[in-house]
Amino acid sequence: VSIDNRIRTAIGATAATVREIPPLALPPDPRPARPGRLPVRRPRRGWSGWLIPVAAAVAVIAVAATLVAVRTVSGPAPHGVGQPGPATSGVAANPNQVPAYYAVITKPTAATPADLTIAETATGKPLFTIKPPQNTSFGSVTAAADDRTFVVSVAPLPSDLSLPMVVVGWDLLRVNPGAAGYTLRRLSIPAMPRKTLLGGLALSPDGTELAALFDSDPAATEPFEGAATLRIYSVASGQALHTWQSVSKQTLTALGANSGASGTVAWLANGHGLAFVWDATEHTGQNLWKVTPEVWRLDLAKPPGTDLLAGSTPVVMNPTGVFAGGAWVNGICSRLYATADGNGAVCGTESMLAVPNGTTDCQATLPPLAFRAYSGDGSYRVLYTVPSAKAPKGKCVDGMASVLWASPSGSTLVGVVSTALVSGSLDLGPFTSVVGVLAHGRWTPLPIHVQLSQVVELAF
Amino acid sequence: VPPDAREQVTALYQAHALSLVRLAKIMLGDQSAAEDVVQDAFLGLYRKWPSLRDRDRALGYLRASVLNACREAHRSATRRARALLRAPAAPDIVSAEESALIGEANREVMAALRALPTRQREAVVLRYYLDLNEVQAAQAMNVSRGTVKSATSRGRTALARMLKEDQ
Repeated sequence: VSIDNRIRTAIGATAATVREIPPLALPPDPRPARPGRLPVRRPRRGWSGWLIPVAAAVAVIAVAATLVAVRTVSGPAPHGVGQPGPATSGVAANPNQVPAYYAVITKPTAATPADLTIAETATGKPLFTIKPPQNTSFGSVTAAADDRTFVVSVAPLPSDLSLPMVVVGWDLLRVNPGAAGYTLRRLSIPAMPRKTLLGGLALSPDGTELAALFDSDPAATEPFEGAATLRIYSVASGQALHTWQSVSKQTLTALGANSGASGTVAWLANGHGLAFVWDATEHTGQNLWKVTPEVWRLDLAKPPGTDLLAGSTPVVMNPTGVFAGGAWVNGICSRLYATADGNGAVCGTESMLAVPNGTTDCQATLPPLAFRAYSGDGSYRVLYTVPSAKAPKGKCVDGMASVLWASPSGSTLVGVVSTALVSGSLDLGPFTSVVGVLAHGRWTPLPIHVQLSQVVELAF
Repeated sequence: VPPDAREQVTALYQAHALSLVRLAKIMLGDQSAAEDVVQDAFLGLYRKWPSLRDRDRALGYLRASVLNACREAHRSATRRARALLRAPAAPDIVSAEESALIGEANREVMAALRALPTRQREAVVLRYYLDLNEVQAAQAMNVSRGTVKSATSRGRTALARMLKEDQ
């Protein structure tokens, strides 16, 4: 019996045990919003984000790969974190230093569009918050290496049923010298074609070109074999300078990204190429795919072609976890982050609550969270292992580590570690996220406090 | 709420509630909790009916609501799965009648399924049980289509490995 048949049979047998259900109980008042007329229901837990488990929640943040760096480091900033300095144009003096600013895009609702806030990395202090144009919402953000220039995608206001990452326009944000305000103007880069979703976004180190990666036809019926598109636009003119498409039966997708797009594409530090994360997808049967995460490098110095794969070089192949003894023994990458040297990738791991051998000793079973650096052959070295959190008796700790930003070599990175206590009842513990800098094996927390459940993008 | 809301939501309930309760039971393993989840989903639909832009997609909204609520119980479900594997005949988890209906082999698969991370479990169930296409599953899970592919593939692979380990 094939595994597919076993799954279908088991699910079908379980479903068949439900034979009858109670009738629908709607409130008697046709105006249910009136206070005091609704039936009392079991209260929900406070943090709706836990509706999305840790793995998904951090992916929703859709951490950004940007290259904002600063000239000077001074004062009481955490190790290696840049301080806001005078505006500079062009490439940053030291791209290994952590960006001085970060951007946060809040989670939109049908009634409330997403705001964009720029804040200081060293202090967590917000500089300003920008409301999107009327009837729109902010979607994703990427930054140049001058520490002042950002490009923000503008999305329609979400409906209850809409998918994220639709792009109807692009805004250029410049932080004024000394962080004294900002300017925001609409770029002439066209909106993404209808029924496409943004999968990757990166602003060139000098801020003159924007790379956008999108699935060309997400509404296509299956089997999906459509092409994904990587396009470079001129920020000044809005014109498309180069376009590549995946012409094979593979589909380019953002690895594990639910929304947000800045972590999937990275300009090489010299501006002569792009690194991108690819979910190589092989159609293996009806409704079934084999998905393998990979990192590729596109050399812009080569004669421009249109075939994305033909013009690119594989960098990291198949950096998957190891499953043995009935469990994931080393975890898997929550999300790959292509480094701007074009030679590798970094990632954080997720602990994976798959514990099929039934043990209750979570600490001994769940692989510890870690940050890793992958090289070209798919092997990796552990940059840092997150100390295991102590859980009270009867509870476990689950979590996920993700890379938010990395230096070109991957030697310095900003990451987030999210953990939560898990109990056997519906009473889930609080969800805790710590943003920090990892350099030379040393993890230094940053004073950045964000409610992950209320954020769709946290970009450095 | 417009006058037709009650009638239309009730009609949707009659048409789809059973399959949604089954979906929730697959995800949660508990019929009472599944019924509660589905009732909440329809109540939410009723409240939002006036602002629902595309009522033809109400079923998609309901699926997403049910999955959201099931995620809330995700950790509990994982613990139940562990308990099932450790003590498959635990009376508070599966009744004798239900155990007979489902069968040992199927229960083993379901226990493995519930041990998957939430997104993988959702993707596998939506694809294998409801036969949703990729776009529909992405809408129900509120994720990208690529994530559906990835989660389905990883979930299937993990299930195969888990079940092989147990044989």
